[in-house]
Amino acid sequence: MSWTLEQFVQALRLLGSLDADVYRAVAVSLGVASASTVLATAGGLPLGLALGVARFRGKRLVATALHALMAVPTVLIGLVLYAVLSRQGLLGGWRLLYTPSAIVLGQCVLALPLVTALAHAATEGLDPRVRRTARTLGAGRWRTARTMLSEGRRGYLAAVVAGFGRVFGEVGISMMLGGNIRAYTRTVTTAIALETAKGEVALGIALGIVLMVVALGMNLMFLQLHGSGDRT
Amino acid sequence: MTATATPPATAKEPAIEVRGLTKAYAGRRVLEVERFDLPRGTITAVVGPNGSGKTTLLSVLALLEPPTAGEIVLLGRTVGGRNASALRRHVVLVHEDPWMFAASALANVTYGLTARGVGRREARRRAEAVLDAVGLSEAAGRPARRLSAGQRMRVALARALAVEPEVLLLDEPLAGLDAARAALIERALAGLPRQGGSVVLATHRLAAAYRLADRCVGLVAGRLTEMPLDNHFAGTVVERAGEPAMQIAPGCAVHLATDLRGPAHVVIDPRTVILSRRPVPSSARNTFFGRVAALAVQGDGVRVTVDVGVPVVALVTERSLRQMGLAPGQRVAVIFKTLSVAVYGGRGT
Repeated sequence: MSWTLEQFVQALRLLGSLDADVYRAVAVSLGVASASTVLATAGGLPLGLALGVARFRGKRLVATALHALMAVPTVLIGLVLYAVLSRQGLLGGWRLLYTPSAIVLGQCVLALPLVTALAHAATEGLDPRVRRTARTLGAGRWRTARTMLSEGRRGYLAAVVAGFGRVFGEVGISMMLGGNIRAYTRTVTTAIALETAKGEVALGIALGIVLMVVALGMNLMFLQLHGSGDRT
Repeated sequence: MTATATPPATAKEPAIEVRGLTKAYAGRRVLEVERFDLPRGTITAVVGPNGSGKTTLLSVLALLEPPTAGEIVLLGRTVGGRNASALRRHVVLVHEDPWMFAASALANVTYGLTARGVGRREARRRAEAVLDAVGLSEAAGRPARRLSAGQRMRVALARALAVEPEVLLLDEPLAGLDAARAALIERALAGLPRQGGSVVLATHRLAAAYRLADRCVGLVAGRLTEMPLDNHFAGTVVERAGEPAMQIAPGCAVHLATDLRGPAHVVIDPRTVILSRRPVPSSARNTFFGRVAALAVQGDGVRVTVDVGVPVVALVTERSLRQMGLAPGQRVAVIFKTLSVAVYGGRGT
């Protein structure tokens, strides 16, 4: 049996034997990615919606800036926040560095422009009659927004799923702000980097399989929800 | 008659008053309305071809789009930035191709009611009653988007009627409806003024406009004209010497070819009107005498207005005009056949 195949077989054994390190890393990853996605969604959906509806000078500039922010490397976000959250930094007193909260904060910064930009695109792509109909039937600002979110749920859901996918698979922020502390801030991606560097390739592959399964699961869930939109 | 508080206004005030309104997109003026009043409890039809600005006018009147300039007074209140959203609740616009929310027909109809704070049970009861009135009670539970175009229009109308707006704005409300369904909608609309509601309906279908409206105005290139067409007369069709006729001016009764009796509108196509310097024996049943009041170039021809007690317009070619030597003040005969007179039953004006 070749070395590569051996590593894969061992990786499957690790997954099957419910290796605690693997599942702890998965739990941390899911926890911080979910929290940061929820926060980015809470900020990004209303921002994208407002940006799509509002008419003001410089709107195109704001949209361009958002798209540019989507391309900022995770290491750069990690570096800037590291400088802010370090003991000597601006928010050093909060003692967030090397905690899951620091990862959540960093991932939120990463996902917010993405969710906002995609929500903006979804709003622009929404039939203008949705808003006009809601308003002429007497809906106030909040009811109109709710109606738009509901009618354009496919686009908005895609924004949320893309945000989750982005933060779940990132490594730079988790590494720099979390510190890769075992069973505390070690995520799937940082564990893969560490274990592979240590020569524990099988464990790295096991974690990689988990990463793939979660990503596929998210996409399947999205397709399911997408389909339910068709039935209405 | 709405679920929300009605602004204090007297019944004598028009439901909508528009003064000096303009609407421009990217510097291009698409609407220019010097003055427009919608009396309370009446139906006004805005008749114009596609692209004349009907939809823009309705959007501005529905307070969905701010005018570029001018003033709108709705139910006695001048519309400004702050009160626009509150006043918007008294007006409902039904689009030509209405959007159906991704829900059942019933849920679509309850939308406006729940948005106004009506309880779910009461909203459902009222929505079912309105759906029944537009002949859609059997489709209440079906997804609105799966209904036919005609059914969707009726759901949209039911959705608007359910909130009992003071002002109802309709953009081509009879589009896609067969005769029976259109009659159903017309009955529902005709009842609105009796309840104090005022209606503006935009259409390019003249027959529907005359049937439904108390008043018809034209909209051409964004400008309102008091008469949507030349030679439009309102009156009563009566039996005169054994044949139907409508008096359009003292001593001036137009013979008609119709079975209809009672209030009606008649329109004489100016292209079919013949002018003659002296009476001509012919098969045409209508001959009136009058004097040329005005001459104006219109397209490839000349528009000749003859005063026969009321102005009657004839379109003639420039060559005919030259050969006849027509000039203002000259006496001419106006001749047209009964078959060139279109008759529309309606409420009259």
